[in-house]
Amino acid sequence: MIRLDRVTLVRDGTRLLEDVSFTVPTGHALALMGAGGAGKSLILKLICGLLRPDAGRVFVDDDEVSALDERQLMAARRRIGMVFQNYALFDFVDVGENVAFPLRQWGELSAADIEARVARRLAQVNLTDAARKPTSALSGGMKKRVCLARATVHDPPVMLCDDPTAGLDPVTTNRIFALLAQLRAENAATAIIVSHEVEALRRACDRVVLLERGRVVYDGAMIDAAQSDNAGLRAFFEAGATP
Amino acid sequence: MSDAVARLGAGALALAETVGALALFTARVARAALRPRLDRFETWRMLYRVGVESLPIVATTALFAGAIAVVQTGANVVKFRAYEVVGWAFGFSVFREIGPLLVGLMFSGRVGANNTAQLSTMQVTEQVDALRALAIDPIEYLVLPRVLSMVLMMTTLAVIGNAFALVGGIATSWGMLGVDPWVFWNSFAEYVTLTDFANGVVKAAAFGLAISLVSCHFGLAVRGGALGVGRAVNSSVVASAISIFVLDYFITWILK
Repeated sequence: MIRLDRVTLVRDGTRLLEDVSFTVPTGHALALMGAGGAGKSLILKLICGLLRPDAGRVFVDDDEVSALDERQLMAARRRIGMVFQNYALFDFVDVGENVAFPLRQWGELSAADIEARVARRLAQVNLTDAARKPTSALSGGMKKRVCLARATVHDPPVMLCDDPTAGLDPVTTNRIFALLAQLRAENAATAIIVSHEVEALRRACDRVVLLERGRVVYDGAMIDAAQSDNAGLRAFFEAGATP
Repeated sequence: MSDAVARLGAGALALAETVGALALFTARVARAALRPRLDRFETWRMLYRVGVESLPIVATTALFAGAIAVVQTGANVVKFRAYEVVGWAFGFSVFREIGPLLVGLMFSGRVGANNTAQLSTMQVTEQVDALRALAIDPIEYLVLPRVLSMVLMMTTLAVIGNAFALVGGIATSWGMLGVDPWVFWNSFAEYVTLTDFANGVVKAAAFGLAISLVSCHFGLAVRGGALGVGRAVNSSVVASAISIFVLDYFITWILK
């Protein structure tokens, strides 16, 4: 379960998020939509504990993430997988080591177990042949798949995906969403997906939250969203693009 | 007038903010160092990059530093025909002062600037956030291996640099002043004490610590994109150089 309770975030005197509240029940997937600069990425960073709210509370399952110190957050983050909008791949190791990175650092599995997990995940994202390549040699779609593999190699029960298909062609976009669905289904993971791909979100998510200038203006079931009274949301669904 | 006062005040506030942030960062590193969980691969990688790759530039600097020390004292040595003290004058000034200072400044320019550029690039490309999101402490993974490597390697390079400076000093006094290498060596070995050597080593270790903390702090505190990276590198080099001179003053004063 992910819950935001009246969250406000202020930076340099500007209210980037104001009184944001919503809940994602365990095992459900939420589409977080909104125009650029609405605060979607900030919400994911708040949930992961990378940012702290100025007011309000953030919960991931039983942990109040917004109240944990950095050391306690380390434990909480092991249950979260985050896909970054701009990949954030480690440029000092190759593709395989990027995916193996969290497992090696945590030191809970044997080297053989780590190799097996990484090989399986790379096969799932169709990157087995790229395992020894530097990340600089990959295309945008391949980088997104590496990012997805790294974020999910430890089978996290919570997945946060920040625009996982930004700038990708429709075929790769469909492949990424199919992968997301597959990986999420394997662990019955709770997920928040930020994207502008309305059709793909319709298939992947059961709830939708629309943000406008840091405020929640719609929170409801995906199935009702297209017929919503909210003009902004309807525009999203009708145009399949930012209103 | 009021503009000048306002600028002075703003400058003082900015300086206080930087010093305060650096102190807090140092405290975080010290706390992490109490329970070190060093990544072996990252530590070896840093030891190689910081130490082995810096050796040529440090050796060259030290060689010429030794030569310059002899050139500077040469006129008086010839004037007073004090050939038997040239080794002592060289050892005292190079081992205690010029050697660690010049190696420190070179180390700051090469290793410190490179370190800030690397960390700030990682910061602006969200690699540091990715580490945190993967439950990996950037202080433990990125900063501790760098601090350890820079302190160890700066000290080691200063010792190696002393040897190169000695070669430069002997060669120059022989070639320029006509002082027999054995005369130089005897003067050096008789008058230069272990304390002189240790003095330089302590300074080198302190400079290594200062460069590592300053360069890591400015790297991780970067804001903005490529422009921010450039500013961070610039600030890091300037702050490291200032730290080196301030530390040099206090260590010289304490160990006098």
